[in-house]
Amino acid sequence: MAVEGIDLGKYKLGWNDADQYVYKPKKGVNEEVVRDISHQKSEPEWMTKFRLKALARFERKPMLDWFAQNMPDIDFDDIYYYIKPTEGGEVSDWDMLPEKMKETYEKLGIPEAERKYLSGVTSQYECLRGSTLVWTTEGMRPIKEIEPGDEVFSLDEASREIVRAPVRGKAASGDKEVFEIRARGRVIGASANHPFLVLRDERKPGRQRARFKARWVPVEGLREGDYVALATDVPEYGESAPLLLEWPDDPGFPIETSVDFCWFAGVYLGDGYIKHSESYATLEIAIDVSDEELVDEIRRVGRELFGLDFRLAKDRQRLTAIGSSALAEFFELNGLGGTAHTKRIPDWVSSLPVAQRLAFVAGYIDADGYVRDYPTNRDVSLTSANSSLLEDAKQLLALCGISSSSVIEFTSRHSLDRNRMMTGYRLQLSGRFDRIPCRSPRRTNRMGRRAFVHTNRSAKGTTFRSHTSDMLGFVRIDEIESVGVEPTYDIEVEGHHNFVAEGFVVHNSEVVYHKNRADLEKQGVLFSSMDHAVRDYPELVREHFATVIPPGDNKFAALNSATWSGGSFVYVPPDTHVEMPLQAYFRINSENAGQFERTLIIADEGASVHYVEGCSAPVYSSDSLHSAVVELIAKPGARIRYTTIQNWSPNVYNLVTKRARAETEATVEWIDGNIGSKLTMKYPAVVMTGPKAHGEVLSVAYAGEGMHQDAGAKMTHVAPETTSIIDSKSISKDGGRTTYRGLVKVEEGAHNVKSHVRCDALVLDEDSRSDTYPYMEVGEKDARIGHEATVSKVGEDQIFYLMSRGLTEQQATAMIVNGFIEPITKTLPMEYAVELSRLIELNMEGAVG
Amino acid sequence: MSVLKVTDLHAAVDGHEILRGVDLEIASGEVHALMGPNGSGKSTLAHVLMGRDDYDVTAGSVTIDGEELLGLPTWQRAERGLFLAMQYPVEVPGVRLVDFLEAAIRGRGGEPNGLTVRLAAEAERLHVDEQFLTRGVNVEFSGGEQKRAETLQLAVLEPTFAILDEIDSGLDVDALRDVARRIEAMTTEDRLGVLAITHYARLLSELRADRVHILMGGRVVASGGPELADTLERTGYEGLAEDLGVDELAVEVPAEQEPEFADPTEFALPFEEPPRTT
Repeated sequence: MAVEGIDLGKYKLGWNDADQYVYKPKKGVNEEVVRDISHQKSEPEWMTKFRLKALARFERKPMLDWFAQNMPDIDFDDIYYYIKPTEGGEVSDWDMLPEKMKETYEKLGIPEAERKYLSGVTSQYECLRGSTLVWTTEGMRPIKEIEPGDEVFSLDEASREIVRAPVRGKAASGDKEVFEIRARGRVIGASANHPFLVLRDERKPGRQRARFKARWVPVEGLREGDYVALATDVPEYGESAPLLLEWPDDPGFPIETSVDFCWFAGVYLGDGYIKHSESYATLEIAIDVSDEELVDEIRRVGRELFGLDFRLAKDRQRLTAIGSSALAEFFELNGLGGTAHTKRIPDWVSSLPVAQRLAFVAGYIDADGYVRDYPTNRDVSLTSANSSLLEDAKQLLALCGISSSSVIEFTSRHSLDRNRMMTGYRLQLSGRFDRIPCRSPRRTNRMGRRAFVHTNRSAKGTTFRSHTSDMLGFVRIDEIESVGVEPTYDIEVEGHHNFVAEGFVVHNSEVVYHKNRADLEKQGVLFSSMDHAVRDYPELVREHFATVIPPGDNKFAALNSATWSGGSFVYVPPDTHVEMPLQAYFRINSENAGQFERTLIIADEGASVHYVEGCSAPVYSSDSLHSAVVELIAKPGARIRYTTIQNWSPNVYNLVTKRARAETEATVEWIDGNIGSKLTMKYPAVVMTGPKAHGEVLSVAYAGEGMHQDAGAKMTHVAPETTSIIDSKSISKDGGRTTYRGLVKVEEGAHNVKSHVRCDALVLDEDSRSDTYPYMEVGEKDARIGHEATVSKVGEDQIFYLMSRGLTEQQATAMIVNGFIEPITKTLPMEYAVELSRLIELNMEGAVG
Repeated sequence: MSVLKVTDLHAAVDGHEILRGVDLEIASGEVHALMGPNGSGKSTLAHVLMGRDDYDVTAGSVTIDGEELLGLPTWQRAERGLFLAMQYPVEVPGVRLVDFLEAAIRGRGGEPNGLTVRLAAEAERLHVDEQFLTRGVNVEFSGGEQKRAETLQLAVLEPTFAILDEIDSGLDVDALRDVARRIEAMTTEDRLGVLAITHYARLLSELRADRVHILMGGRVVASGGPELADTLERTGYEGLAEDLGVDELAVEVPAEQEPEFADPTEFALPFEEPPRTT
């Protein structure tokens, strides 16, 4: 995974890239500087006034003892408060990213595909397990064996037809948690973020008729009962295959495949075998000789293709031909050999034209198939003692547009010896098998009288025919289940950016992001930098800006209010759900939002959004103070999740004020990873102002040498029946210090409040320290507040246990730490979970090595 | 064919000698039972063999096929083919058994291909509920589940020699049988060499031992065939000690002291009141 040749030595110290700025105001903060900032950004007058007022507050506010104690070397007059960046505009392409930023990713050792994702210009990894069978024009191939240049099948969303498309690239995407999706006998294993094409009923409340919309939804967003897209047929492809000959100069046998040859080969595969005697071999076919038409047809083809006269043997149970020895060799040479238990369908069959593939299937069914004759069920089934052969048949059938069940195991008594039990396998065909050109009337008569054809184009009680086609159907998802971590892969397909795997239509890498952007716009979601928002959405901004964190809140909030630049603005309209997390990486970097960014997120009534801010990216700053303000407003019934992973270099004071207002029945979750900085003081807060609002803070802090993470949470219950959860995990090592500091406050009149606080600290050595300061102010007697705190030292017992299985001490510690923070990482999108774990590991190694 | 050889092994904790010259020789496919009363040094021996650094090895040697293991860190001993099934397997919250074993296999230089499938097969064989594979290692496992899980790890990691430290403690009859059968199969199919440390002869009714050794006072005081365990069953440790003329059954070690924790000092909240909004 890692990029070669990274110098982690530098990383340990943090890094400073040479500044490239067009304009630098003077150091220090005063009226002139603040006016200058506002002017540079061409701000409206109200914002300039706001800044100046905030400046006055900043100057009046005393420096609290606590800050003064912990930040002895902070000098407010020795800081650049605004630096106009050279790079303008918002980056939408990896190649447009500043070189400096690319270098930063290099330093972090993040592979390119992931870097693209982090920089926001492309989608995350989407992956399928290595054994996933991709439909190709060479048959079905495991995804891990697909190579660029192979031809796969892909859905043209406009015409709803399956078309052929070349593979542009393939990537092993590492070990990922895999989810199995089961739908009507089909199973596929994909990572949580892999999008599938689904149909969803999006009718307005109260409407009678279902309104289905087709959408790409990642696995984590899929629900049992969604309808997922299947390729039910493929376009014509394939060519007759050359046949191998023992004596090429004197063929005597066909030199390439034909419909008749394929049919005969299918019959042979079902009921034929080669009988070896001492000096020669004979090819025999054991069929039901009372099926006269079938016997005649085999004899005709045998004569025409191979010049052999198949006759009924004396026992009247099989057909054989004098001189079939050479034919036996010819069949073996072309992959048709083997016994009943080892026979397989040769690879070349999958790459034949459809008529020949179908003829092969027809032959096999004529020999070995069974067609039921119930009025309601005239399905075809194949039975064999060889499950691999049936798996082959299943794949071949799918490439002929015919669906089938999974291979079912059954046991029954032996027909000759009642005491013997036999294990057999059965494959049930369904769908369009009327296209199979069987030649035995016993098969075709029944198949022809079938009442129903399943093409997955409609479902009981619903109509979604308009979304389907002859090649595209939808089936209901029966089950989605996590099956553990497996190596995963992805391929990139030219043209339509999807491909067919295990029958499902799945998305490939790239473009999801661009699509997201377009989707966002369509949904009416506003997502821009705060600077732009002040100009572009003046009313929205003015109405909400600084209503959760007023400039006088604390000295650092005042400083931010006076000098802010950069940060994000998000507005989600009522009842709008943003499915993919909004990423903050790319814009913050290109705007070069310095140390005083300001973010405002508004989720209107019933809306939901997940915003992710990653700071593992560059530390452009040589300055030592980072002081951001983040305000979240969740209107009634809305839901906001805000995720941060900060990895500031160890010279940075990180003092961030984060607060959310959760109105009636709204939910706000802060997920906070603090891995870097010299000192972080951050207490994300939720003020629950409406009944039944819910607040949650999940945080992970890591403090290594010379670091102090003073983090926690603040829950203010203003309204009745509000609930909150605080879950804090901290790790200290090499003299690092972590502090949990939290407040749960229940105001008078806030009845039936519930709150639960849990802090767990892991102290990795004797020099490190962890403290817990939980505060409660409870104004109502019926409040129920729980608090648990644990401090554990990484037991030598644990390390010894893991080492006794072959892990080094470092690996063992890393594993224990990752396990410790697992309750938090599992709530993160996959990439951030990986990122967080890796950052902690890097930090720990840095200190160890 | 490999040989695990322990020669004149002496080990101490804080200057108190616990092992006072232990000799053992175990070949591939053999099951040796090491029995002894409480405090005789059984678990110490297990830990010293695996390289736990709480003990000072003062003399002796431990080799696999002539290669000295003393001085190697624990994980390298594991890499050389040694496995310890622990009496009290440790909980590792948030780490799934699957991930743990995958890391362990990679740590031993292997490739965890088909691990999920093998785990599922072993889980079925040992009657381990599959949900334990995806839970935190040993977290909230019952005693029986822990020992089944230890055996499952043993089966998947395929070491050359396994030390089973009181594998029978906390097991009911069914679990004991499952565990013993699986281990026995490994000794015959994979030629696993086993040192089964136990207090009771009960284990040996399920797991057939080729040799039985009695550890008392930090020394092997008697060795013999399976009949030695029967004798012990009749006489008890004290009776056996009397017969053998051994006076010291256990080794005295002073109790550990509780570590002290300092009270954290409280600070005032460094932030001010939130605004009254809406």
